[in-house]
Amino acid sequence: MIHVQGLEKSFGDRPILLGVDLLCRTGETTVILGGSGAGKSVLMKHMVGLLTGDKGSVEVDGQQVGELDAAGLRALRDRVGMVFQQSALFDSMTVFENVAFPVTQAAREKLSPSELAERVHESLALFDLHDVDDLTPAELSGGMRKRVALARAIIRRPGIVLYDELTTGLDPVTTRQVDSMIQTARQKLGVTSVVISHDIGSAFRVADQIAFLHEGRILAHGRPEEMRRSEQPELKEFLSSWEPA
Amino acid sequence: MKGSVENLGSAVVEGIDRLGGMLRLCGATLRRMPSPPYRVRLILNQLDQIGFGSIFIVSLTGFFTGMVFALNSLNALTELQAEGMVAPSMTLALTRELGPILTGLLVAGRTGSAIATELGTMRVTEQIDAMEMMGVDPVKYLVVPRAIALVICMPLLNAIFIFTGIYGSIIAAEPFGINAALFIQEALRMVDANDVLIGVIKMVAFGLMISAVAAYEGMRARGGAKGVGLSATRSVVITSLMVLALDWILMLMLAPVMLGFDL
Ligand SMILES: Nc1ncnc2c1ncn2[C@@H]1O[C@H](COP(=O)(O)OP(=O)(O)OP(=O)(O)O)[C@@H](O)[C@H]1O
Ligand SMILES: [Mg+2]
Repeated sequence: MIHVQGLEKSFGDRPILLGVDLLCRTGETTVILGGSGAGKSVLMKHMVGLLTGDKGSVEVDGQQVGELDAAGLRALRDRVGMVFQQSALFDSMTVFENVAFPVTQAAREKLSPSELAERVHESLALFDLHDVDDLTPAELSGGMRKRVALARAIIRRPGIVLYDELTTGLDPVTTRQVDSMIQTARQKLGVTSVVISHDIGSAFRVADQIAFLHEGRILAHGRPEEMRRSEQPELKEFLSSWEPA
Repeated sequence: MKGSVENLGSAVVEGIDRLGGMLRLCGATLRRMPSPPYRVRLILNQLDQIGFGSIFIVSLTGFFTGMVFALNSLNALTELQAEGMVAPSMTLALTRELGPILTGLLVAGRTGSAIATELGTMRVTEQIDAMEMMGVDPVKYLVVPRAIALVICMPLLNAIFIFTGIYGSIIAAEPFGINAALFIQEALRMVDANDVLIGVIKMVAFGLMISAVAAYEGMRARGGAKGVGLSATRSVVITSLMVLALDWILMLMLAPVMLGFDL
């Protein structure tokens, strides 16, 4: 469970988050909707201590993220996988090395080469990637890059996965594939997911809960049907840009 | 008027802030050096890029600097009929100043920009966040191998500069009737163990400084390709100035104790 309370954050004198309250329940998929620059990525980075708030608190599985020491933070990050907005694959490494990185470098698990290969391929196969081991990130298409990033994020079977704009810049078919992958990850691995998106259609497909971030605050949250019927003016405007097929 | 005073004030504050950040990063790097994991492959990789990759430019610069410098000295020395002095004066100039300063500046330009660009790109594409997120310390994984490689390479590159510089001087001195054997004999008379030691101390300091400044600038990069470009430029400017400043400070500190004279 991730519980954000009254979170405020400014960069210099530019306020980005003005008191965010959000609850992401265990085993559910929570989608954070919001316009570009609303502070969605900033909010997500607070959940794993990559950024620290000026005020308020972020609690993950009962632990205050802001109060963790280095070891506590590492233990938390061990249980969380994150797919970054720009995929953030290491471009000096091959696909195989990227996906193996959390195992070989972070956990420094001592696996035999064949055990390691098996785990990497298993993770890649979950997202329908085959024979890509020796490619470098520069040789992948955008969609493949996202899927490799997904494979890397879940290789250590985290209980929580954070997805930052998984579907932005993907074609509709790939978007649907990626959506079903989020659902796969949730069903097969039972993970708690937080998904950032400005793709409304995709949000309604994968979400158990939707939260709408606007100008530094969560203006509305609830189940997808509730959100669709919401009378909240900013949310209505945001949703009106999208017509269900 | 008030505005410009304020600007100057904030520039000074920012400069101090930056210097503090660089020193902290340097400290963090040094603290992490002795502890495992050692990641030998990453160090070898950096040795190859920083050390091996710089040999060509360093030896070429050394050779031409030595040759041109020697020719100029020889012209002056011929008038005094003291051509023989070219060997000791070149050797001293190369080991004490030309070698360290020019090698320092060359590596500052070449490696300072490379490190800042590489880490800056990793910063703006969230690769550094991702690394931290996966529980790998970016300073340990990215900065330590580069710092170790620089500390190992700098004294060696300096030695290469000095040797190729002397070689260049020998070639320049030949037509003036100073043969290689004589040159080397005279040159060896001038070098002192302390000169060598000072050279090593300077180069190790430059190496640490370049890694700290360039990594600091890279890791703070923000805002896409433009931000990365800015941090690379800043890195080259700051490392180059720091080479000059450190050279001067170290000479002030070390010359009285190790060479027996005040500057
Ligand atoms: N490290 C930082 N330093 C300064 N400003 C930052 C930093 N990170 C983000 N910002 C600023 O915070 C604001 C919100 O950024 P954020 O990346 O969270 O937006 P977002 O909601 O994810 O938008 P998008 O949908 O475009 O990704 C932006 O204006 C950005 O410039
Ligand atoms: Mg974002």
